[in-house]
Amino acid sequence: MKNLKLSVKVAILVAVLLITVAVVAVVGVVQLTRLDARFDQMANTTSRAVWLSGDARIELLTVVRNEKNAILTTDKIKATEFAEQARQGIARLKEISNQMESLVGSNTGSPEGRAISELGRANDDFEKNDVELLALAVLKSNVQATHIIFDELYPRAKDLEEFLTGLSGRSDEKTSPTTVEAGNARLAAGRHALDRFYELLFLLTLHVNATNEQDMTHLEVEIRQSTAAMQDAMRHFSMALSESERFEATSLLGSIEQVKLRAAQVQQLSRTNSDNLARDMSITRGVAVGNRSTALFDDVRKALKERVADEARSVTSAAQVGKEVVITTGVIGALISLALALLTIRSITGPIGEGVKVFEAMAGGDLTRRMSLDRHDEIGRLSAASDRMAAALCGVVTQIRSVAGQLGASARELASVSTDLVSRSHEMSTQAESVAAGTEQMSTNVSTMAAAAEQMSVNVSSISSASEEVSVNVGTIVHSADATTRSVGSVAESIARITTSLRDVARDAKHGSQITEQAKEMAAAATGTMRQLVQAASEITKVTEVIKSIALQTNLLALNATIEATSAGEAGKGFAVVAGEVKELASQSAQSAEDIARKIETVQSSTREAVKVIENVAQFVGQVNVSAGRISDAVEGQTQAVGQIEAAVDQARQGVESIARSISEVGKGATDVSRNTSEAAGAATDVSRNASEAAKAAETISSNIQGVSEASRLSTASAATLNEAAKQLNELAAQLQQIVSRFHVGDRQVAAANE
Amino acid sequence: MPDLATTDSPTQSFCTFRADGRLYGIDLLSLREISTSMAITPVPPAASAVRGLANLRSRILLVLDLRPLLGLPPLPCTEESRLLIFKPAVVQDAGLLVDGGGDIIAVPRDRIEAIEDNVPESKRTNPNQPLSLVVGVCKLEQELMMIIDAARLSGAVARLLT
Repeated sequence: MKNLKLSVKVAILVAVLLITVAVVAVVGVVQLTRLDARFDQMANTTSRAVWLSGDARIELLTVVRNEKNAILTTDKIKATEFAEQARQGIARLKEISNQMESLVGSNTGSPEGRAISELGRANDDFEKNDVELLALAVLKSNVQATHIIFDELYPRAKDLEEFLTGLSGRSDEKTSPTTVEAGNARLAAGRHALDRFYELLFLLTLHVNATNEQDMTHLEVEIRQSTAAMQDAMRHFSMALSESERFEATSLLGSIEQVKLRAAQVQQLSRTNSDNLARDMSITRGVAVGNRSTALFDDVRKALKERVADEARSVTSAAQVGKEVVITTGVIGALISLALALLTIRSITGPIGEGVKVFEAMAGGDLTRRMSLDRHDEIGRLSAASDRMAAALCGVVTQIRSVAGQLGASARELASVSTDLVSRSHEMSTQAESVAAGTEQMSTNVSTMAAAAEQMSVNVSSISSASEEVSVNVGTIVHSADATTRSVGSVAESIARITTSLRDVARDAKHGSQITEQAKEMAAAATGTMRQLVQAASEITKVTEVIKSIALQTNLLALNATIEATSAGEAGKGFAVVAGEVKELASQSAQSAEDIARKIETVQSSTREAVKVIENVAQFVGQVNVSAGRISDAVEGQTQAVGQIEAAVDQARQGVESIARSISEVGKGATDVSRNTSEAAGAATDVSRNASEAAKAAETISSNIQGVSEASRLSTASAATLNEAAKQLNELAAQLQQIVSRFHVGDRQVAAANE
Repeated sequence: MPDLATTDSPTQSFCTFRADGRLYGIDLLSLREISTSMAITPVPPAASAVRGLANLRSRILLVLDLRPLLGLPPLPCTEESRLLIFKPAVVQDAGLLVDGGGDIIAVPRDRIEAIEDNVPESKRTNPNQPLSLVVGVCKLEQELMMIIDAARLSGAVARLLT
C-alpha cells in the first residue's frame, strides 16, 4: 500500500466507490425485478384467481337459483328457459374453473392448487347432477298429469254433467209415466256414472299429489277399482239410454271410454313425478353438492387468501432483503472507501507532517533530522531528495564550521600577535620618549655646560683682563670647574642611558620586523581560508539551486494533483486539500532555500569584507615593517651620534680635567697664572667649542629622537589599526561561527570536521 | 460560457497565468496537466501562434503561444514559462505556452461575469478574424482575471491548421 503512487491510491479509492455504487445498483435492480415479479404474480395470478373464485361462486349461486326457478315454475317454457340459463351458467362456471386452474397452475402440491382441483371435481359432480336434475325439471310430469286431469278429463265430466242436465230437462217435457220411470232410471245411472267419474278424477288428483310409493300403490288399487266401477256405471247408463239419446251421447261415451287410457297415462306421469324427484335431488343431492362446492369455494378462497398473504409477506421480505442488502452493501462500501481514504490521507499527511517537522527543524537550524521514509512513491522520492539535501547542507555547514573555526583561530592568533605588536611598539615609544627625555636632559646639561664654558671663558677673560682678581676668582673657577665636572659626569651618565635605550630600541625594532613578518604570513593564511569559505558558499548556492528546482517540481506535481482531484469531482475534494498542502510545503521549501541563499550571500559579503580587511592588515603590516626599518636606521644614526657625543664629552671631560689641573696649578703658582691663564683661555675656548659641538650633536640626537618618536607613534598607530583589524576579523569569525552554529549537524560530522 | 452554467458547485476552479503582466484564467476542468516549458521544435512555415511541436512522454503536442493569440509580440521561453496541456476532449493533443503563473484558485461563481463579442460571427467582414478568446471576467480582490475559453482556443487551432 505505502509503495503505491498517489494517483494509483486515488484510482483505487475511486474504483472502490464505483464498485460500491455498481453493486448497490445491481442489487437494487435485482431486488426491484423480483419485487416486480412478485407484484405481477399477486396482481395477475392470485388476485385474479381470488376474483375468479368470487365470480365462480356467484355463477354457482345463479345456476342454483335458475335450477330452483326451473323446478318451481309451472310453466314448461319458462322452465326450459331457466334450465338453458342454468346450463349456460354451468358452462361459464366450468370455464372459470379452467381459468383458475390454468392461473394457479397444475401445481397440485400447493394447498390452493389442491383446493381448486377438488373444486373442479365438485363442479363436475354438480354438473352431472344438474344435467339430470334439469332434465327432470323440464319434464314437468305432474304438471302434465294435472293438465290431463283438468283440461281433458274434467271437461268430459262437465260434458257428461251437461248431457245429464239435458236429459233431465227432456224427461220433464215428456210426462208419460213409463218414460218418466225410464228417464229417472237413466238419470240415476248417469248420475252414478258421473259420480264414479268424479271419484276417479279425485283419486287421480290424489295420485298426482301423492309423494310416497305406499300412497301411490294404495291409490292405484283404488283407481283400478274406481275405473272398473265407472265403466260398469257407464255401461248401465248406456244401456238405459234410448236409441236417439245413445246416438246423441256416442261421442261423449266414446271419449269417456278413453278416460281409462288417459287415467293410465296420468298414473304413469304421476308415477314419474319429475318435480318431486327434481326437488328431492335439488334438496338432497343438489344441496349436498352445492354445499360441498360452497365449502370448497371457501377453501379455495381461504387458500388463495393465504397465498395472497404469503405473497404479500414474500414481497415484504424481498423488499426487506433488498433494503438490507442495499444498505449493507452501501455501508460496507462506504466503510471500505472511508478506510481507504483515511489510509491514503494518513499515508500522505503523515509523511508530509513529518516532512514539515523536518523542514521546520532545518529552518530552525537542526540539520540532523531526516525523514528516512522507506517508500517508493512521490512522497518517498521527496523525502529521499530532502534527506539528500539535508545531508549536502550538513556537509557544507560542517565544512563552513571547520573553515570558520580555522578562521577564528587565525584571527585570534593575529589578534594576539597584533596585541603583542602594540605592546612592543608602545614599549618602543616609551623607550623613545625616555631617550627623548634623556636627550632633552643631555641637551639641557650640554647647554648648561656650554653656559658654564661661556662663563668659564668670560671668567678666563676676566682673569686675563684682571689678573689681580685671579686669586679672588680662583675659588669661583674651582667651584665652576667642579660644577662643570659634575655636569659632564651627568651628561656621560645620560649618554650611557641613551645608548642602553637605543640598544633596546634596535632590539625592539628587530623584533617588530619579525612580528610583522609573522603577521604577513597570518594575513596570507587568512586570505586562503577566506577563499575556501567563498568556495564553500558557492557550493551552498548550488545546493540551494537544487532545492529550488525540487521545490518547483513539487509545486508542479501538486498543481497536477489538484487538476486530477478537480477532475474527480466531489470524490477528489479531500485529495485536493492534500495537494494544496503539498504545494504549501513546496513553497516553504523554496522559501527556506531562498533564506539559505540570502544567508550565504551575507556570509559571502562578510567574507569579502574580511578579505579586504586582511589585505588592509597586510598593507599596515608592510607599513609597520617600513617604519621599523626606518627606526632601525634612525637608531643606527643615533648610535653613531651618541658615539660622537661620547667622544666630545670625553674631550670635554679631559679639557675640564686639564682646566682643573691648570687651576690647581694656578693655586700652586701664581706666577704661571698669566701663561696658564692664556692656556686656560685657549682651553676654555676649546671647551666652549667642544661644548657647542656637543650641543650641536645633542640637537641632532634630539631631532633624531624626534624622528624615532614619530616613527614609533606611527608604528603604534599602525599596530592599533592592525589590532582593530584583527579584532574586526575576530568578530567576523565569531559572527560566521554564530551563523554556522545555528545549524545543528550532529556530533559525528563535527568530530569529522575538527579532524 | 456553457461550462459555467452546467455545474452547480458554488465555486469554479481556474488555472491562472500571466501574459504581458495581465492576469488570465482558464477553467481547470479543461486542463490535463501543467508542465514546465520543454524543448519545442519550431515548425518553420506555421503561423506565429504555433510555437512548434513538443514531445510530452512520447506524445506529440502542438504548442500554441498565447501571446500572438492575444495580439502580443512573442517572447523567448524563460524559467517562469509554463505549458498548459488540455484534456483530449477539449483540444486534441495541444498545449498552450504562457509567460508565467500556473497557480490554481477557486472563485465564487457570482464573481464571474460573461462578456459578449461586440461583432457576431455572421456579421464579420473578414471571416478569418478570430472570435475573442476572452469570454468572461472575474473580479478578484486585487485585480480582474480574464477568463479564456478553451473551446474557442480549439476553434483557433482549427483555423490555424486549415
